[in-house]
Amino acid sequence: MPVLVDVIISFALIFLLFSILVSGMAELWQLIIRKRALFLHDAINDVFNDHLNKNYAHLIYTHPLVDRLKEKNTTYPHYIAAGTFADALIDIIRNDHQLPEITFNHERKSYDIKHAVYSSDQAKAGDGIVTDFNAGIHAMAESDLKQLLRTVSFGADDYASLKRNVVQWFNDYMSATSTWYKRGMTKMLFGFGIIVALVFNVNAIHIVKELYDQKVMRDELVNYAKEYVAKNKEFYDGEKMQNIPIDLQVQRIQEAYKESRALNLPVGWRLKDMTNRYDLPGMTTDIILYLLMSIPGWLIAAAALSYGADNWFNILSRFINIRTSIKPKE
Amino acid sequence: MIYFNSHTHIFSAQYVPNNVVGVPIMNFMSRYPIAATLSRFFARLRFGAIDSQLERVTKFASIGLGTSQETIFNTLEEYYNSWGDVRFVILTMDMEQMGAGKPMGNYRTQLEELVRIRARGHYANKLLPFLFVDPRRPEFVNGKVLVEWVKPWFERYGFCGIKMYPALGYYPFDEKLDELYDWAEAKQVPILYHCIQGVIHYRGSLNGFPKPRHFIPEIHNLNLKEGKAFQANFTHPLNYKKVLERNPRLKICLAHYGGEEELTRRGPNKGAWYDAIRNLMVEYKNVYTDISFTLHDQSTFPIIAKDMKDPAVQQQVLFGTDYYVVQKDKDEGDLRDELRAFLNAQSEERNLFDLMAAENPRTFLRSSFYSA
Repeated sequence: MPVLVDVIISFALIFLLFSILVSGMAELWQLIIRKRALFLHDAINDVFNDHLNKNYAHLIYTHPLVDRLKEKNTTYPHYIAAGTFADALIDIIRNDHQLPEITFNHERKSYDIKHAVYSSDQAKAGDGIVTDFNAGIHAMAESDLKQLLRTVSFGADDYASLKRNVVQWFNDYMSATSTWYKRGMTKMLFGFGIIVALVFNVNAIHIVKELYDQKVMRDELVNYAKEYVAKNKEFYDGEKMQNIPIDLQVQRIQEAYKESRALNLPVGWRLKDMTNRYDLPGMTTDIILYLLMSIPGWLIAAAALSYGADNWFNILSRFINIRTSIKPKE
Repeated sequence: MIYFNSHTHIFSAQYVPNNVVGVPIMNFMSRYPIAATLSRFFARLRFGAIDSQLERVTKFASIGLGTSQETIFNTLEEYYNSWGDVRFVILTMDMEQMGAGKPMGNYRTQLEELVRIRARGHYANKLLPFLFVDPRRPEFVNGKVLVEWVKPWFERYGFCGIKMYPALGYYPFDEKLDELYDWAEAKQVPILYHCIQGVIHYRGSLNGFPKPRHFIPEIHNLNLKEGKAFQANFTHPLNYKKVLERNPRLKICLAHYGGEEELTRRGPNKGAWYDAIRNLMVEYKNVYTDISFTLHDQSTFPIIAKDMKDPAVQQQVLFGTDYYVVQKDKDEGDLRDELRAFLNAQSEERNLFDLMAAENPRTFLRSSFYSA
């Protein structure tokens, strides 16, 4: 029993260190490709690009409240606060049913512009917005979006209640979409897990075998794991990996890398491990066979690495507690 | 003096279906902005011809990725900051019927966005929008409905011309367009047609394409199996002979002068489009052409200059660049300055560039809805 617990602790520690690397790489890649911003745009586009009327998603993104959140002209914002979204949407819909009129004045040889007049422009700020918003919905052709907007506006009799309804809908929708996002992230983590498993030759089956066979290595890792948990408990109880700032992220990756190097872990590429293993003639055959036999171990490792550093930390702490509780009986 | 760039586009990639040349590059760069950063980096390494091509394609894609038409227009306007009063004919595009799938943003969004942009500040007089008309839109059940849809855009929302792109899959003498032509002729509304064989064309099935209303055996071949070749059926300049026979006072512009190959290569099957356009211009004073896109190839300049000096057609050639489509071949500033310098060196009596970019467009654009 203690051997099994020690193997699990050592295994969890190794995968925790490499998971920090994987999570950090995924987070950096997300920033580089602006995945969050594109995902948010796609999620809003799914609902507000109404082919039977207009692409309201485009209108939301070009509304000054949202447009100013962009880093560049060709990118989308990473985050839109629910209140900002609601203000932009209400303004767009209330404006939607009237276009400004532009007519050419032949005498002056220039265009005259007549802006649309709304009931909400004439009264004190905020009054009449619900009336204009409902008029905007009424002018739309029947569509899913029209139905959604109509439903959201139920019970709203002033700007504050209309905004509250939109904010509530937006927050609910974002909660639902965050599940889709996490699913997408899992695929990305698995991809980076494969890269890390291959680059560092992290073979889950080989690691378990080595940990089981080598007591000295196991003991060293268990001792280090206890220190690690004590030192990092506060961090993992607080912020999650994806919320930490980028410089801290890079620092943690560097630390994880240094620690993994210092611990002499059963990972990495060594020619002697690959050759003279199966008693086959020729080094190339040996290497090919070694690589083929390693595939299941790499796949398991990739799946384990995509589990996330915080989850591995929880497993590690739990088994250290179990070990502490069973040690005296032994 | 007021200058006009009579052929520009500011619609963003979202108004173009995915299955159209250039859009996959833009989408890729939108999904992976690092690709644009890397290509800019490699372009700056200066490897010779490849780097400038890469730089232009990257620039073209990054302009098209602009999230609004205003953003794209601002990049165009910057090129002309030192030119004083410059006005831009903005050609809208409806690519929903070209058989390449639905674009992300529909045509109505594009038009209303443009109207709202013009209602701001100085844009109304700078942007002169042309309304794209595709007779195949399902709501245009007949020509009357089509005209009733067109009129408010001119009477209330400041459009000043019509754009058509027959290569997307329709003939310019389509029956549904007759009433539009009658109205446009009466109001002297200019109509600009795409008239070059390019990479943007009808992508749908060509099997059983109906025989056109006017079948012209010399130019129509319905047995062609490739969209790229088939587009000549729709776009050929001789199709307009039929349009002008019915509406001889209709003010039209056959854009691109048929293309740089038609302008520069002579011989069997070459130059026929250029000759056809030029003959129409000689016959009808209300037929114009523009040199947009074509001017990226400097070997066309002598022919353009020759026509600009020829009283038979010199008042019917318009300056246009085809911004930002042309960016992938040559930078807007370069092609404009090269042409201007070339034309100015041709004649001491008359400034040919001013004739092409200021005087001729003024006549072309004059209608019941606009004058400059």
